[in-house]
Amino acid sequence: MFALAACSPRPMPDASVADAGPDAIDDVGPDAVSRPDANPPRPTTAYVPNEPRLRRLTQRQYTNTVRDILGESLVVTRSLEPDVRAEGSTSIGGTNSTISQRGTEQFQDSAYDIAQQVLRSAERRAMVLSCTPAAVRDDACAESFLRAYGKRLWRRPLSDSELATLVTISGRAADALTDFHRGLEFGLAGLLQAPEFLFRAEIGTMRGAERRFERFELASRLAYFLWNGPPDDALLSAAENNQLEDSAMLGAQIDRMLASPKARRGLEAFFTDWLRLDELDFISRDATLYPAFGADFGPSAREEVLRTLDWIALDRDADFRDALTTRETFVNRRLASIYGVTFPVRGAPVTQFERVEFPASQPRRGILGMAAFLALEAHPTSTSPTLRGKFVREILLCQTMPAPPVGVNTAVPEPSATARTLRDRLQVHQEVPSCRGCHLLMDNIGLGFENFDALGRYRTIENGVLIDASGTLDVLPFANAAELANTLRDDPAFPRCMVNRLYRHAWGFHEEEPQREEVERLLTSFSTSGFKLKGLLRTIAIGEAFRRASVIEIPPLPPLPDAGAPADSSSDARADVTTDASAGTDATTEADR
Amino acid sequence: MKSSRSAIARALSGCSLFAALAAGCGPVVGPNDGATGDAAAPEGSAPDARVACPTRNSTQSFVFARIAFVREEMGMTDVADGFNLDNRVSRLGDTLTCRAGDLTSPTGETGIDNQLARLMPTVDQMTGGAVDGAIQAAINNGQMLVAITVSGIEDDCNDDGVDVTLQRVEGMPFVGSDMSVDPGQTFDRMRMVPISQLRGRITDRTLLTDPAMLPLPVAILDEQFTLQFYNARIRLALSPSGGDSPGIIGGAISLSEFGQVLAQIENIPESLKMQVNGGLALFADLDRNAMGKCEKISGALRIMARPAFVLE
Repeated sequence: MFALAACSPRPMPDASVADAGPDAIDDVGPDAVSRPDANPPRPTTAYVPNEPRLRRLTQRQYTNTVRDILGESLVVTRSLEPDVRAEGSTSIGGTNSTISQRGTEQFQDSAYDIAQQVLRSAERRAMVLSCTPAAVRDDACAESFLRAYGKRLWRRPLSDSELATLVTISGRAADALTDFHRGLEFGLAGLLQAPEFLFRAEIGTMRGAERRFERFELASRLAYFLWNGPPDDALLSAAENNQLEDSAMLGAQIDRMLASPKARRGLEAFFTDWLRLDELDFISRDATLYPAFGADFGPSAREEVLRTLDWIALDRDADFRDALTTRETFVNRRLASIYGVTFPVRGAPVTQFERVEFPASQPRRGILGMAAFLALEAHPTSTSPTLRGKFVREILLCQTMPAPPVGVNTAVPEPSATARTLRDRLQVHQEVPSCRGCHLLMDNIGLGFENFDALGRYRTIENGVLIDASGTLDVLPFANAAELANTLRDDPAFPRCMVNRLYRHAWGFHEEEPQREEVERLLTSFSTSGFKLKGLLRTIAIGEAFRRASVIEIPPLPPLPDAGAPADSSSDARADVTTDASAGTDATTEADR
Repeated sequence: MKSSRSAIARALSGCSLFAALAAGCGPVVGPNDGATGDAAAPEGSAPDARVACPTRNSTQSFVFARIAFVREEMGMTDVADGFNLDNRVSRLGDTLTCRAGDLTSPTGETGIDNQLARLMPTVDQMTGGAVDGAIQAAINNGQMLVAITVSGIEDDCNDDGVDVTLQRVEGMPFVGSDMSVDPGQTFDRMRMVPISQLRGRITDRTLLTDPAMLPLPVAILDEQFTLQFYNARIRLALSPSGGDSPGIIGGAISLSEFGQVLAQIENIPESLKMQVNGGLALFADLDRNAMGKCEKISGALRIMARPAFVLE
């Protein structure tokens, strides 16, 4: 009954939903009608920042951090605590994640493995060690290394006590192993498995009535947002010199970061999260029905999406809504064969991607015409208009579709003489009241992609019958996927959804009513700048809201057992992350921060 | 051990020879816009005749994804697919065909010249039945990729005159779980290999080329040859949905030319060469000379063509 009530289709925009405003789309879901006049602006309340949090590094961030700082050629294990997806976002998941006991062991194993790779290779060692140890135990040399790399790995300078602890650990291990470098491995591993490395602190300190991110926290926040990796020395230096407090200098840093090749990496993290491209590693297809499916399909399909979106957002700095309608894409030989386009380079390896155009004769457009979407939102043996429609609703328009009611048979009838196409067979959804409401909203969109099979290959016939790829998006009819793409491009719900998604990615929180002012500001900026994603990234990064957390009481951390430092130094170390609301500055954190 | 290796080599050499010949002979055509058929059916399933003839591109290319020698139909003596190359119906003992009688096609067409269909069971015995597998391997590993391009198509269903180009292409193909070259791939034309130009027509969505001499590219082990296929014809049922297009290539092979090719291949044992030459001479049925001997043997290859692109 709930599903029926929640999903009853409405052929016309509903006033009550429209009155509820844009946020209602997320909550009311399928009842919402995402047309221009359906979402009139409503008054916003003053922006309330999200809570201060520790954000666990995602697996990709962990790898990027290690490689950026210790060497690109390092092998980083994939056996790490898996990323958590919460509310459709690993960014939100990371904001709400701890580390399991098994995960702790994995991070420990990985830390020692990386430390060994760095310090047992003479070549790599020469790149990171600026001093030559004078003896098996050389605390000065160890301190020099740990100070420099500790600052990079923890994204802030180490306190004297933290440094002393790590130097002591390294020295004792060197003594025991009679080897300076083996001893230093323990110090480096200590850095790599510390919470200060595995979690990004976004705690802030009280300044007057506001809780603002401390300068190194902001540098880290910027770097993981724009680069999906650690701050480089220039950014850390800017933080150290208080340059991030100055809007002009902060803007210069952001521009530098957006111009860096690492910005591609940062944006790709967002795209991967938003479009769930990581799931392409796990799709499978029936080998009898889809013999062209192979192990390289998923990675190729993901690369295509990322390259195309990067090209639109960064290289062309174009209207990002073009992502839905462009005929230009990047393919390798594998994808070219699936799309039926000529691969333009002779003798190219399968790893080579080239820019091509989708065939003009096909209604294949934008990301919804790419193999990634078409294959991800399909079953191993067939297409799925329902999944495809659900993707459009949830991922592109930020509308929530409820799960099927418990106990409902979700199987689709087999083909028969009277129901040869999937469209015919899906009619069963329309005939069962408990299914009809939601499926009308999903299937009527998803059927628009029936010209593409479960691998994304274009087809015109299903079981001997010409495919009808027409449908409706709310009240707007379309004849095929190309028309649907155009309709979606013009739907104001799409850029709004983009802003919402990017907010969640940047902040690690789902935007709620208290944050709507900032979301509306970003949407206005996005719209007036011609829907340029690079501009939106900049607007977010330089915004006042990006530098603040909500004012809440943060209890002091409980005491921790100390691994080797003097007994009184643990409290000193803890002082690094405690705050002093009365100070009004970050002076209560470490003196050298 | 040595004799065992030798036997395997002999068998494989024989296979490669036929495989290469087959791959080299393959041509075909088919209009296509890159669309596939029913996803619920395997890629390449037979086209549905009820579908209306849609507008097609004026040029389409295909690659031969499968090639196999036509044999007599299972359990049906003297029935095999092919072409009537000499435009006459010969009976057993006909002197013009060196006493070889024609076959009948599975659809009932008489006068089919395809003596290789009768020889193939013997060849299968000599090679352990590995000929077709060797053919497929030669295609799948990219050694023998042949593309056919049909251009000047004005009507996909019925067109009185189209141009057909047969050419060798190269590139490491993607091979699907059906163990055949995936459709839609781009291959590079081998620029140093001659192109064959043919004329043809499309009737009821079936391409048929006019008789012509086809210089057939042949790769045997690491050796490359060109073997002439005389009075050759190609028939291809063009898939309306861009799926697989099945067809036949038929023609005559000169025994002397084939013998010369065989002689140049060092890795084939002399005994096997003699067996092959002897078998071909025994079944030869065309181009009877003044001495009363036929200098050519008729044959046919069953092909399956898939849409492809050829990069010049």
